Amino acid sequence: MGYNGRMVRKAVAALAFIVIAGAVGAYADTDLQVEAGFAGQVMDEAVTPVRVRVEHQGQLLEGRLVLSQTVETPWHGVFTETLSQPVRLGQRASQNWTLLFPLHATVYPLQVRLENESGEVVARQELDLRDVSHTGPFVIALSETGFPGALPSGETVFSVSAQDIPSHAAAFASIQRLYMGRFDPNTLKPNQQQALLHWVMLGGELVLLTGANWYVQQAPWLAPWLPLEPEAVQAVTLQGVVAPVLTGKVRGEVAWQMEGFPILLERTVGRGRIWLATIDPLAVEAPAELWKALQGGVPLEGEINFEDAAREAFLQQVLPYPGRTLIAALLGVFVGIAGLLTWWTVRRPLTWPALAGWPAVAGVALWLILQPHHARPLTMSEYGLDLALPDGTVYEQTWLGMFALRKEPLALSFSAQTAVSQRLPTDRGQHLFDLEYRLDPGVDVVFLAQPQQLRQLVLAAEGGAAPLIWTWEGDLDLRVQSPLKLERAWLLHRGIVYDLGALSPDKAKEYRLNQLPRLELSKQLPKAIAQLWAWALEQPPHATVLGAWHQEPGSYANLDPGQTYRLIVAEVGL
Amino acid sequence: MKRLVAVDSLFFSWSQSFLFLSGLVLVAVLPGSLPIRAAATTPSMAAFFPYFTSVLLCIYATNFGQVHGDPQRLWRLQYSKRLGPYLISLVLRVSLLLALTLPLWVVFFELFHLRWTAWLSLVYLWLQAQVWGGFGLWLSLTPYADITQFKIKYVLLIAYFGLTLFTPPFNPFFTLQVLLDPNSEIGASAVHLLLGLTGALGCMALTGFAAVRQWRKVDAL
Repeated sequence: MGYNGRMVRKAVAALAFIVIAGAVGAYADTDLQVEAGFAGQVMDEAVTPVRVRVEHQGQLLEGRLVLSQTVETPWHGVFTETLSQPVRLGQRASQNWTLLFPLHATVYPLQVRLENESGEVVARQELDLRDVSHTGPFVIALSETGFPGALPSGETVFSVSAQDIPSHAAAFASIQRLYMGRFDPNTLKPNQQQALLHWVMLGGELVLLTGANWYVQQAPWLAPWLPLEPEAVQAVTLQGVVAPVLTGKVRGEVAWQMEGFPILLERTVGRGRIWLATIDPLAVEAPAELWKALQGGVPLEGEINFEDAAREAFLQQVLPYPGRTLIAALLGVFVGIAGLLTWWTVRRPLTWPALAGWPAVAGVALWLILQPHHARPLTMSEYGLDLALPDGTVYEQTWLGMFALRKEPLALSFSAQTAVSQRLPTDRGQHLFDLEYRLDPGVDVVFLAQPQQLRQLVLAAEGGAAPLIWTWEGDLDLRVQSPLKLERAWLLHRGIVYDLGALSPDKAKEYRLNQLPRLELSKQLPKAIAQLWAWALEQPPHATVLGAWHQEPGSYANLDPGQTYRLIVAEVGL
Repeated sequence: MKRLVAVDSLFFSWSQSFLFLSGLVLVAVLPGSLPIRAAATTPSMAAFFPYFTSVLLCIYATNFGQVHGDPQRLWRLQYSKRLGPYLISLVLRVSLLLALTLPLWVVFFELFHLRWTAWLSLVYLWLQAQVWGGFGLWLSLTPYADITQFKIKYVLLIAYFGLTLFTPPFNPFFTLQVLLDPNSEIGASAVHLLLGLTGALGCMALTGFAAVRQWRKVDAL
């Protein structure tokens, strides 16, 4: 028995060793390679492509790839932004992912970890972003023959390869301009091509440097958008130098020409533009005027410049002060009472005890002056630029705190693809311009985002977060990020009002317009609602207007000025 | 007694006029509810209130001192020739003058979102007022004619506010600016502030001493 017992113990030990070794070996050789941004550079507060390569030598691994960044902000405190991707890796397999991660401040590192099914970390990597942080939007370049890092225009250019081009327009948010040199656009995958065009339509700028490069640049998917219908590349003598020049029928604006030849053309596409240089200014020594012309151009409609918009919003704020009349009246009362007290005091032999009344008078005056009604509270608002990702989530790209006077309208410009959300934070403190503000969750700000693309109007509000109504191109894709339930939502599209019914909070919903019931403007409608529809109908015919009510159920029909209501109107669509 | 009531009445009516005038200035410098864009380009008159009030306070405090040293020795009669209560009375009345305007200062501090150091400016103004109160007392006890006293008073006041501009630590406007400006660096100006406060204390002691000496001289007559 003793012999058998030893055998059994050895067998168990050997088995345990095999199991443990197997378990360790299963994940021991899992390697993570992570790269973020463009040419290794990232930008603060931008949806950033993060390329992850996993090389797995062990057994089958099922779990998830988690990207996270822990950030601390004055208003939100410490929070962690997380994005996870399910993974399934076979034995000795490797796979690449490009995840679009909403990066916050680059002073905080990006954590990447691979977890198995039970949540154990198999591999991890921390990306220190401080040294690769880029200020301002990117200018990137695609070229097979290399591209200079700095252009005569003063732009710093990051060369990228075809696989670095994002496959969703949201990831282009940090890119201002893309130069295309000697590069075949057909090597881009269809979803990359679509994303690139989408980005241009949203406000991006594509610059094609043609000339002799045109032989490789021809692409059917790009041709209809170019400012030139090319015919041939001709050798032309310009300022004594023979240069290959692309000639053809001009479809856009001539931004700059030389000796009668259009050299730089531009065409507005959506809210962005495509430039085409008929010469390759990198191959031919181009005059400085060409680079200068590249920095100009027709101002783009609805160009997103959030900093300008934020500054504009701030400058429109009204700092409320108690009125002069009020202070003067209170002062008059104070002096009057002081006079009466004096009159009484001088008739008493004991002066000093009577003076006890003076602090009382001062106290009453102070109490009157500093009443909250007179010292109107300043409200802080937050505005976020939100971007949608393919999985339906909406990310806030940036935010801003500011002070606003109640019911003070603001006029800001945003593009159609921008959702402007407004929230009331619950904390208080001193921030912008070191002014002290008081937060009153019962007060909201009338907000008008203008001119055409998006309108959000809050007539009045109760406390809590404002609902976020967000739409995307094509069919209506609606997501309400709010604890509030919106009643009687409606959509005005091409002159027809559709009934969307109640919108549940925190749920995304897709609508097919032709399947939605239509609403008619009838006399039975409450006056206020009819007026709002009338307002909506006054909007340009191509505009799409979305409206919804938030109120206690059942009482929306009679709007009482004494009650609090919330109306969100968002105008969307190209 | 009738004269005493008359003097008391004078104090209170002066206090009221001081309150009224400084209140008027506060109302004048109050900012309007303008958009920040417009407010940024509209010059702020806020600084005028403390400057004006400090000048006015010095004038009124001097007057108080002068009334205290009334040639008819009313106040000395009231306090039975005891110096202590006599001076305390002056200090308290000058303090009351400033205390009356306390609501105005609170409104000023609140509306312009000033930091806690702003309250130190009141301490500084109190010291200033006491210096000038002592000076007024000394002046009234001198044998100069009323018109000469008037001239001396205003020449000295103008010289004080004007000439000290060349010696910033001793200039009340400079000290007030350091204490009231939310962007001023208190740490960097600490030596200047200390000099200013010490100067004010020194002047207070000097004028008090001069007044007491003069008192004894007059009393000996």
